[in-house]
Amino acid sequence: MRMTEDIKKLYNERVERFITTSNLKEPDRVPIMNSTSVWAISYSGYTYADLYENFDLEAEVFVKAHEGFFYDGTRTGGGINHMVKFHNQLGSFQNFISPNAVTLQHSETSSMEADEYDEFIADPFRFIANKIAIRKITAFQDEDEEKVYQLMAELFQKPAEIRAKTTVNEAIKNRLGIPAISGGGNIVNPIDQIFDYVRGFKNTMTDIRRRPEKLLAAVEAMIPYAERNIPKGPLPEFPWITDNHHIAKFLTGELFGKFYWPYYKTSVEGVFNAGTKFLSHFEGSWEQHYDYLQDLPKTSLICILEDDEVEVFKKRFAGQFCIYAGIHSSTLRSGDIEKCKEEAKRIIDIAAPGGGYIYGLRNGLLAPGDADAEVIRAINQFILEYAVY
Amino acid sequence: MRERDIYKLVERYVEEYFPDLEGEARQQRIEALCASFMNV
Repeated sequence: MRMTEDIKKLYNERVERFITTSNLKEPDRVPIMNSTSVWAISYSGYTYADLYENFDLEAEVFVKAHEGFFYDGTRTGGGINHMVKFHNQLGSFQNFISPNAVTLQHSETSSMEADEYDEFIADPFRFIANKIAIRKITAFQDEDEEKVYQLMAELFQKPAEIRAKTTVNEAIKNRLGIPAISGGGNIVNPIDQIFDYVRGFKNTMTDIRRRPEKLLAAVEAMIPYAERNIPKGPLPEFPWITDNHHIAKFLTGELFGKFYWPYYKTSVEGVFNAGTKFLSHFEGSWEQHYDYLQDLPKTSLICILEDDEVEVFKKRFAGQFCIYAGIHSSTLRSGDIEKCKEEAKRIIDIAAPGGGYIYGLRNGLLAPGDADAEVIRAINQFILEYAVY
Repeated sequence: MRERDIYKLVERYVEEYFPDLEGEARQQRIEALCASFMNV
């Protein structure tokens, strides 16, 4: 389905609103973001499992969660993770559907022992293939090597097949004129990959204290590969490139500087030099990292603030970075519309003056109880009318 | 746990599906495919 002229006009206005905001100027009004994530599924009365490989239904469900909510942009991630079903069939349950079939869950995995660091450091990709993949994907342990090869080929080819069938962002764009702000792609910090997929939370945090040199060498062994994922450009100014930073909130100043900052800085600057900006999801609070951030180029970042105080951040980085923040999920869950409006107004009054502010929930919504649709609608309508320049 | 050379199978896959890749480009494709196992 192609955009009508009216929808195209809306779409272009919204893109312009985001570009102006990200360049720290005042647009006509504060842009309003959809961060409802997989809450969209329960809002339509379905479960995560219902949407597996049902691409038309998936698009309908996500369009419905954007319709009539006054959104200017979306951050859906393009829908659900269809690969999980195949991963489970292969015997890997790193991600799995919750027992009530409503949401996707992630189990902490540690696929490498502490005494295997040297082997990983010597050749991370051979280690990932020959140790981590075999441990996690039980189908790869089958005696029939040809069968394993065919499954592996299917595993490699399936993402492209799914991408070709997934129309969530396209449907939201073409039917509602709402752009996907993080459509430029995703960059992952190597230590987040080790944290998420190789050693797990507990072991990585132990390694930081007991074997920091090994951990650092493992991170550095992944850097050449990770740097290749930073786009060279030239890229259009919009949409932006994104990352959710997982381990950063647990790293105190010096550790952040050692393990996280070098690649983070390279990727933010690389994306900026390529012509676009980095949509950086600060999970937890990043206040302890502010001294590092001040070295990044002006207008290079759009910072999604989860637990950071908007007032403190604005005071420190007004004129340098764009703020993306909104009411806390606990306030939203209370269902008290007046209380939600009051909190939204307080944040807007702090963050909006001078431009460089996007309204959006600090956390994605997952379960049905995370928010009432009418509350979201009422808050967004209030912002639409109140946050005008 | 079975000792299996999955890395070798990845090399075979690249040989079969990307026969034109050579040198550094071929190696980078192998590494990207191996890295994708982490997220499974």
